[in-house]
Amino acid sequence: MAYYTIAHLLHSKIDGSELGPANIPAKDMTDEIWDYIFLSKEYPSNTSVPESTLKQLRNSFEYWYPLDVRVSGKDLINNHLTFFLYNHTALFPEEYWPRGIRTNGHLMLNGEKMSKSTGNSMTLREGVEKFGADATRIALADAGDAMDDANFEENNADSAVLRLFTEREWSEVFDYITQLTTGTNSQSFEHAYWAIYLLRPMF
Amino acid sequence: MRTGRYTFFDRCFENEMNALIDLTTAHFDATNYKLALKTGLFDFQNAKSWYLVVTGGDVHRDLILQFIEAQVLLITPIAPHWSEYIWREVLKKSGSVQDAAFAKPSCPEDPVIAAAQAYVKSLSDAVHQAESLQVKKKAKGKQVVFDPKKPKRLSIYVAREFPAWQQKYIDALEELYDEVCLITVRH
Repeated sequence: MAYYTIAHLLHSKIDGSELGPANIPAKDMTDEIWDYIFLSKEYPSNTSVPESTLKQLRNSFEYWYPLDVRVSGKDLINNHLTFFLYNHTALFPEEYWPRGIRTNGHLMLNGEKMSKSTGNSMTLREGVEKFGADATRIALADAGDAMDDANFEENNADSAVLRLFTEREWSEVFDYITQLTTGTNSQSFEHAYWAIYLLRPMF
Repeated sequence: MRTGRYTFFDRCFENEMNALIDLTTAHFDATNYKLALKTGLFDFQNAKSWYLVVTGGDVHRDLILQFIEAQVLLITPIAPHWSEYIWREVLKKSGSVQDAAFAKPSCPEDPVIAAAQAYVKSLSDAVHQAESLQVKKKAKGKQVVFDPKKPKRLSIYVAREFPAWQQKYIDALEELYDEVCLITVRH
């Protein structure tokens, strides 16, 4: 995670094939330079990288660290997340130790495991195309909290579409009625007609 | 659409909204999004439905406006596009809902009103249950006095005081509680 704070300066492509704005080739990133960035050690004498560039890297690290929360799957508690804590306590002073970790379960689709072989899968893009962004987000939020496996139910996304639609309509009708009732003729037929909408049981 | 003084049901609805706003804020703070969705959307909608039913549609204008605005703000983190539409096109607010402050209760939750509302709800549930029990019995062909075709009359009996034998022990308990401020129960 410490690396994330400077990765955007070191390379502009994710595979490292192009140098980033700091313009430092990988071979020049010596142990002393890492110490300068992460541990506030002295500027090393045996480097051709200008101190101003390294200062920029150090600033970026010190701006972002410590991290507030690391989000990961429950299957990574025993390995990645545990070693994440070990590494931070071994390398960094306490002020840079992580402030929080949040773990989540696996995401299921309609109560079944997602898998390539059964074809039970849905990408976020497919979800948005099918239900729209907001209904997809509602079904995702409703899928589950904490460590239990979250379950994305397409029925929930469907009913979220309906829910948002009827609630929008209800709000618009109310808006219309307030305009009518601010006039003098508040007992008009039109008022009574629209008031029926207010009374419809919602959802 | 009413304006002016709040009725009992108006105060119940306002109080329930305030309680749900506080709960939803706490759930979002704890990153419990399923719970935030439950209290901030599903329960919030149910509070409105209850209010529409008990008032028979004779609702207070300010509370409905308060409801729409709070509903938009509570759901903005989860349904931002919908919220933006209601914010700008229905509520006619200037600027984006993304720049608005999160929903705030109009006043702190009043536990006395909440208790009164819970009592009314449980009482009306009990009445509906008693009625549907009669309907079920009749459907099974049992002999009942109840006839759903006839006009209905409901008598509710309310005891203003506890029975004397209970009140005696409540008094005793109160006396002890005042003296020591602590009651230890031993099994």
